[in-house]
Amino acid sequence: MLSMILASAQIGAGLAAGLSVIGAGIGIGWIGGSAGNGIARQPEAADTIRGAGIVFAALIEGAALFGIVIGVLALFA
Amino acid sequence: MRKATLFLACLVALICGTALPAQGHGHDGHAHEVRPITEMETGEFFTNNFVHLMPHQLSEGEVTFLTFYDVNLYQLIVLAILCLVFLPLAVNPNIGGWPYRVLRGWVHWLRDEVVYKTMGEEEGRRFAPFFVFLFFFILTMNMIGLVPHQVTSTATTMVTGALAVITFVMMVGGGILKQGVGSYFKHLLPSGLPAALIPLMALIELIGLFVKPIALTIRLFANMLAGHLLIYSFIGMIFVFAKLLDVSAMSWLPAIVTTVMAVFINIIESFVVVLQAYIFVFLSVMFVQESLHPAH
Repeated sequence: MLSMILASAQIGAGLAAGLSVIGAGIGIGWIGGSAGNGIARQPEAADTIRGAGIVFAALIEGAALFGIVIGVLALFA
Repeated sequence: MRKATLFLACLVALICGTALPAQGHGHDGHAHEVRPITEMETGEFFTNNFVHLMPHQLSEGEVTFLTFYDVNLYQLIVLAILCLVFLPLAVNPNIGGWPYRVLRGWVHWLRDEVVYKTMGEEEGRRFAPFFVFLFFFILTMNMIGLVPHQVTSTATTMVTGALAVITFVMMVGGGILKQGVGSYFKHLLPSGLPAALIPLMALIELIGLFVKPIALTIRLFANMLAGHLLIYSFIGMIFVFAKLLDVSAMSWLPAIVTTVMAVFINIIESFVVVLQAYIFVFLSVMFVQESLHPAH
């Protein structure tokens, strides 16, 4: 019984990490695509777009890490 | 030129010198027993490494409110480094030499592009010193963690949480001081709301208020921890492959590959370190500005 609970905790942790990273991947990919579009349309704004894109990507990365931390908590807490 | 070299040499010596206290005490108080890796479980290669990420107390005895952890020691070390680096600049703002030119430009960029751009010059003038300090404090703590044998203070929720609480107090306290208690909490709600929605929205906005510092805490903590976990995982993988190959001469090959990967992660980390310090400060400035001047 205990091993079942442990196994399900591990599956849950893996799902939490994996699914949140899928979401972050979609989000960062979208940002990259839009930033590329924006730079292609307006090359003179490249620096501004790049800076903003990095900040947004870092914010999304934070959201993915929330999921991973929840997964780690499920595993060890 | 010679002054700049001396300056850098002092800095490197200081950071390397901090390795001594970290090595002096055994991690977790008890030494790892030395066993051949063929007898160890696969999980042990990783858990033995991950243990080093936990803060451990330097003082003996029970855990109390004032227990001194290695994380605290490293915060003090970071403060000392910041004092040493910035003191000449504080005494004479026009001092020459390229390290000071770099630092001065950096501080100016932070003040003009981060604080003044969001808060405006008049109000930003009061907040700029704190946010500049916050940036360099977090940055130095993150950077020290990249040096082997050092402790990353920001890889614990306690340190990042304390920093986020400071931001939270500035948000709420600043908002209340600026607008008054009633006005501050009234402006948390969007204006023109139907009366039926007010209790629900009040709950949501109240949760949103507390989520902001928690998000700041987790973002910095998790980013720092994740990089270190990756590096440790790659280092642990050396031993996994060595065990799989029965410690033959072939185990050099995966060891080289995983070491290169660990170095690669370290290079990425050195970018993340600066980015996360910037994000923390940038979001803090945004949150404080938002609560000082609510949107109508």
